[in-house]
Amino acid sequence: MKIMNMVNAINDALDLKLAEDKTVIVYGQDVGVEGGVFRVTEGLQKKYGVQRVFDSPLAESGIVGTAIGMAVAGLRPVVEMQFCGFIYPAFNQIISHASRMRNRSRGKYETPIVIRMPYGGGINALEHHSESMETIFGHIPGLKVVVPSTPHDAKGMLIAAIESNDTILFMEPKRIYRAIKQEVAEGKFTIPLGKANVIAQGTDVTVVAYGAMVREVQKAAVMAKEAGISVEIIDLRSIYPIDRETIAKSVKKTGRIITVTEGPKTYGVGSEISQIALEEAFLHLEAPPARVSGFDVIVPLPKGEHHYMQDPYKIFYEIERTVKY
Amino acid sequence: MRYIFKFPDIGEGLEEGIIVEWHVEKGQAVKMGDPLVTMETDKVVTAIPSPRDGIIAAKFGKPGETIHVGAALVEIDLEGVEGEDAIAEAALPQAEKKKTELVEEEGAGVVGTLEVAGNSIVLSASIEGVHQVAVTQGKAGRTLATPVARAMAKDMGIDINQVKGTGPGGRVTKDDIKGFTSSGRGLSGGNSQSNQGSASSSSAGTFASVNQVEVEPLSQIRKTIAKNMIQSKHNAAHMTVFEEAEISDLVSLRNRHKERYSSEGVKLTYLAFIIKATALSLKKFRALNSEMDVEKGNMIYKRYYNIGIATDTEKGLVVPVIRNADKLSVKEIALEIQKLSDKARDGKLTLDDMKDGTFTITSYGSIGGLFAVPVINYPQAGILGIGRIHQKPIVKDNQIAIGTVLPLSLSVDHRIADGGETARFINSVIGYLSDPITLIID
Repeated sequence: MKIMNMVNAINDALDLKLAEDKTVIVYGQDVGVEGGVFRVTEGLQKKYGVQRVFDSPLAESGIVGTAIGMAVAGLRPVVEMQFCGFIYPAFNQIISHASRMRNRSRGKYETPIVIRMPYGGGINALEHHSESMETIFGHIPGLKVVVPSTPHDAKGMLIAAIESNDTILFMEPKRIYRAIKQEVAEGKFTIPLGKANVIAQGTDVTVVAYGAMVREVQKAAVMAKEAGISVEIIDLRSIYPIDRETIAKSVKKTGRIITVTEGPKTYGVGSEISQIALEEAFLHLEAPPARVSGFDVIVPLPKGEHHYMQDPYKIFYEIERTVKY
Repeated sequence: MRYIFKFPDIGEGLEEGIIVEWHVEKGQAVKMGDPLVTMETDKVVTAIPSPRDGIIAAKFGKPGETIHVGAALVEIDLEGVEGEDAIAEAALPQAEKKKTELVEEEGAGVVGTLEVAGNSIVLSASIEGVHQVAVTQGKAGRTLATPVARAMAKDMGIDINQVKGTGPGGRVTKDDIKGFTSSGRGLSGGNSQSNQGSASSSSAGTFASVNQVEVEPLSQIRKTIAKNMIQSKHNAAHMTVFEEAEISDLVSLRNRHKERYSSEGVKLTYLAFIIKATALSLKKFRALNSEMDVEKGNMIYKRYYNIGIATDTEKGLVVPVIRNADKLSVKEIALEIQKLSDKARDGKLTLDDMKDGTFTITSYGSIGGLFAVPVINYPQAGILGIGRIHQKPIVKDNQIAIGTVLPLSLSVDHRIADGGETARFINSVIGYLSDPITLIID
């Protein structure tokens, strides 16, 4: 066991896979010499050389496009988008090629690519730097989209992602890159992608969140406990595939569900989870599924960002409202 | 230094209390043990003593306001300890501040500012993926119903979990809820039509006009009484047996000795004899002195005999307890009754006076009523109701004679006590009362 934050844990996972599997290569903007703008890939180029860990031009479409070629040819590229908000130039490569290569080639070719990217707000950054666009990718057949919320999960999930033969968007909640420390097991372990994690058992209401929002929900749950409300918390971990079973089981138990997400409200992940609750547990519901989410606007600049972000108070308000419905 | 005194849990799991009266003013000096404030909790009205010597710097809450356990009641300026502790306190935040500054430097990035965890706060480790993780099974079993059926039940004031579902997969349908209102809900019988009508209108609160009613908030004691009564009626299977004890011998015994004991300051009441007779009978029939632990699947038989006495006070019903009544003489019981009823009248009963009862006696006859169906003081197994003592014609030695009769109503929890046991118990009580000399022999 070693105490790590999420940055250390991701670095550790990359280090392990680079050492173990010669087909793994890591690249992206500032990933090599600088070690990434958030220092996630620090030290890797020194250790594994410029052939396997290197800087790319400022060209997201090129980064993903070359990764598709390498993957089809047998490598396992792990590429970095510097921010989630920078991924749009690579959109065509991801949707038109990576996501459908297996289908198009009738199973002959696969694209085992991991696209890592920091996402989400709460760090007083600029426009483009705070977005949560997981919904867009969760909607596309042929992609997997996962989000860790702890250092342990980040390491186990990233190793599982690199070992998977699918194209995976590995979204890193940068707000908690360094905000949470945890004892993380040394050596290799994997956490299966697509499995949600019930991190707190409760009886009155289920709250589903992922990434940086999990910590906010945990704080709200403490407030709820003081108010006599028992909250079950599910860390979704995987936007797609989505763990319908865990959600359904929990809602059948509590009769109420709230989702907490950072992205815009309309057509968001919260809407999908609410619908799963309706389909799987309609007869158990005591209140309408509720969504705590961002708004249908661009994430505001630092001064106004707190209006947009979810905090324990907003979440607790919704918990109380739902339980008293 | 200021000491913040928080409302303590003065009993068993109290959550809140209502301020009745303040005994101190801001700026007033208090000694440890001085009464600060009188609080009404759901069990008692009691004065909270000051935990320290000092001067009242602030008090929180006005009479009538509810204070939660753990909330601040008063702030006390402690005499003499001001200097030293104040310095110690001032030093703390600075050290803290230094640490956070250091941390912020580390978190500064190219874009934005990342929060950095301190070394003191570490998330607990996970073993998922590293070791086999046992899967915990959540418990299901909530009533199935469509939202529209739930809404309907809510509107009608029905707990949907009480309704038996007849729909697909045991689903509670709208018809089930309608059927529930017309059958069996409430104790008042009547035909289904009128019952249904009253069920739907009762939740709205039916009174002619606002001017003709007085609305008062429920006192804590009233709330507790209501909760306990419902709990008892809901959980225990009530069964009541009625009997009469012919107590001419007890009357003459009491009349012979009343004066003598009175001069010793002892009020020799019938209740004292009845308590003694009950305690001795409980020793013979242990089911009546027990409780059922359904969750663990156990019966708990008690080897102590603490008799609660339902007592009418201005504020409402309280049940002080006479401990180990089987070991006390009738005189000692009489003295204990006097002590407890004085305390009850003055509102000075403590939680200790009222806890650990194993059986209850309610003596409504002293006010009026021949027979009543007493509600068990749950989770106890039984309660004995004492009716009004009166003279009436009885048959004695094949002749009509004037007898003195004590009506008794015994309610038991039929889950625990069977009919035979119950009848034998009440016969035993009657045996002691009609031949009171046995009270000192047994």
